Amino acid sequence: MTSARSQNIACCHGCGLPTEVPQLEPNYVAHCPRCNSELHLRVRNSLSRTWAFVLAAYFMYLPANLLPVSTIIYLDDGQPDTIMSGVISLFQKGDAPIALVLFIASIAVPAIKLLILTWLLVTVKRRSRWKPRDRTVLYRAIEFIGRWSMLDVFVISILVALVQLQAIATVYAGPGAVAFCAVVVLTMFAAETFDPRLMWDPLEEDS
Amino acid sequence: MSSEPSRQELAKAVVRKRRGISTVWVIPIIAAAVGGWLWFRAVQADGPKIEISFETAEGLEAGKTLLKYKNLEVGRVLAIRLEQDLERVLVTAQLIPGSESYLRENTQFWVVKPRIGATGISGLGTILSGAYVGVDFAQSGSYQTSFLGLETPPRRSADAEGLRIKLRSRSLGSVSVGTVVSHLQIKMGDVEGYTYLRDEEMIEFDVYIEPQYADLVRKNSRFWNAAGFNATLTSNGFQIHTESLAALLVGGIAFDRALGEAPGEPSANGDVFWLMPTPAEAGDYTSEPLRDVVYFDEPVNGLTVDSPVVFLGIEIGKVIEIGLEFDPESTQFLIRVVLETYRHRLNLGSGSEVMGETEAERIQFAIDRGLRAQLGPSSLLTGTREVILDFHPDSPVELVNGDSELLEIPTIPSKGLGIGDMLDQLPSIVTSLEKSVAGIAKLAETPKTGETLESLHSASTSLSALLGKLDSDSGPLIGTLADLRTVVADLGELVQEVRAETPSLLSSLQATIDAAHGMAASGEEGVGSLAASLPVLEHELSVALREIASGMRSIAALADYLERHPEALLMGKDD
Repeated sequence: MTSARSQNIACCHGCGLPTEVPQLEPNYVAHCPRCNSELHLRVRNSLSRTWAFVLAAYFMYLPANLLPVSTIIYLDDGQPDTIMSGVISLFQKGDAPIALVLFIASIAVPAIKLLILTWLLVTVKRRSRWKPRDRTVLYRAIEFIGRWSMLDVFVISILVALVQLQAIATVYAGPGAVAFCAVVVLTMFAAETFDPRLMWDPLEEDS
Repeated sequence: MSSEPSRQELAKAVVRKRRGISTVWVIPIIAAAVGGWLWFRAVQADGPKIEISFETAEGLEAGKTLLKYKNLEVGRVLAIRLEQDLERVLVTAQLIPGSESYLRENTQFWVVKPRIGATGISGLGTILSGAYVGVDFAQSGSYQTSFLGLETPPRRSADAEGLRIKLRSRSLGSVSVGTVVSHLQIKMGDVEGYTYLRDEEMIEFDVYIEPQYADLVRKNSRFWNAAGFNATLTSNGFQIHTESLAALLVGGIAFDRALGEAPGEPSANGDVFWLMPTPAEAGDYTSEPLRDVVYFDEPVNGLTVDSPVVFLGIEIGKVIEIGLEFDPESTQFLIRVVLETYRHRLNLGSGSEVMGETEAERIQFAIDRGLRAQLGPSSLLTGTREVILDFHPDSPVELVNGDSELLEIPTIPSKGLGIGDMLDQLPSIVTSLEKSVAGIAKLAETPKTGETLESLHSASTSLSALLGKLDSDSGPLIGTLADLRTVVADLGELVQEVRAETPSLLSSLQATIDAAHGMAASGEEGVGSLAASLPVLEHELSVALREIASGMRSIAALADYLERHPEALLMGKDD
């Protein structure tokens, strides 16, 4: 199995010039002779950078789920809601479908995303050769759905801005919203920095 | 590498030394820091959790009800649940961070809701916002997180400066904790609480007077219940008196010294005063009223609780209890009346020492000199009565000795009747009136009445016949007179003849004629007066007849009655 990397050829991100990249010593970087962009055979430090983002996302995941994301005060009555308590209260009020959507988008998806990323990172590190195609599909999927988790953040930001009716109804954002937003953004970055080509490299070595 | 001829055409990358080191690991560090900070803040924002036990969860809502100290939000109720024995509710509350150091033994919690009483009206704001839990933090005592909630707002802390006195009263009235105590309608303090004194059977109020006014309470200050309003109807008109609008609504206590009295010594903590129901009573009664008992063996209608007790026309007390008591000796019911009198109104002064040292001795002294109680009318119009104390030295002392605690004053039969008593007799008057009317009707129906009337009629007929006869009898009398004239005329002729014969005879005849003339004139006069007196006679006769007729009617009635009740001759009329 052949890849551009095995031929030491890289395509410039900036101008698209295919370039032969020599074997590099540590702390040396190849540059495009035409546009002077940095050249990489693979995303630079993909694994460690992804790990960094994933870890950061894990750090934020706890406050995101345990701290209140919003406080909706309606007629002087209201209390801070975490994501989970919002899901539960929606469910108790009989809005099961909406509760399900909220649960999937705000709790399940970020969690699944983080777990999948972690799993991908581990398999890449262990140079696993197990179903690279399926893993790549999985990666594409999380990269795609990741942004939908921002739904919750948008809803809160819009409500906070619009619903300021003083005594009648007021919405405040909680610290959990910031953490949640950070989780979503960090996982998006993690998905971005993860180089799916790394999953295929072990196969190439085998051939 | 011959399979890759194009390789030579590829551009060669330029290789340079990398600048700096990878900064990507800053991100998880920042994330950890931010996450940790958020987490720390969230955890820190959770102040201590406490549990408060209340009798009822009225007005409290989990997640909504706030805890406030000096109206500053210091926490929120998280959950309310029942205690295991179902006796009380347990409120779990989350306090703000930093309040740990104030959660002491003496910290107090109570539910603030709209309350009329404490310093007027309080907690009105909670009508809209809902009740909240009031907190009074303390800095002394040991740390604890479970508390017993108060049902009423706490009293002022016991060590607050000011004057603390006690008021005693026989009724709670509208006084409650927080009732304002005022002087000249300025708030000077309030009621901190009250207790029931089991032995004395009265209520003792703990009153707090603010330090700046403490010197206004004197030993001779008089306290009265200024609640509501007093309406009095007197000869001066209708008067309404109220202490203040707040007092009208929530009650109040006012104090002052009696008019014209010099201020006494300043009052000291723990002094006991009497709380009087009205300012008038407060003005008059400063000391504890004494109780005596009297027993009446006659009905006491018109006498009620609060009826006055009058001594020589001056009200010195009132009736506080009326009840029946069976006297086993005489096997009859007695009416036991307890009197409350304010002895100082008697202004005995040094006289009380003369009378005796103890109250019992003094009463005995007065009884020996004839002190007696009796019932008398206090109002002729309404029939209310009062207990009159007066001296009747000659009346016997009749004591029942039915009460071991109270001193007894002997009684004598009641005095006079009021209109009420007369009204009481009205029914019997009406009954006898009815009987009389019935008797008259009966009389009219009896046949003898008819006969009587008939005989009366015949009597009057014969009377008028008699009168007619009398009329016709006067005719001949006049005729006789005329004859007499003709006789006289004949005599005159005779005289003329005789004159011619003898002048001496004539002169004697003349005298005879003169005499005859006088006789005739007087006869004429007599007839005239008779004729004039006839109508008078007739009238007098008819009056006499009428009287006779009525006499006959009475006789007929008597006869009729006797006919039916012959025994009445011996027994008398029974109704």
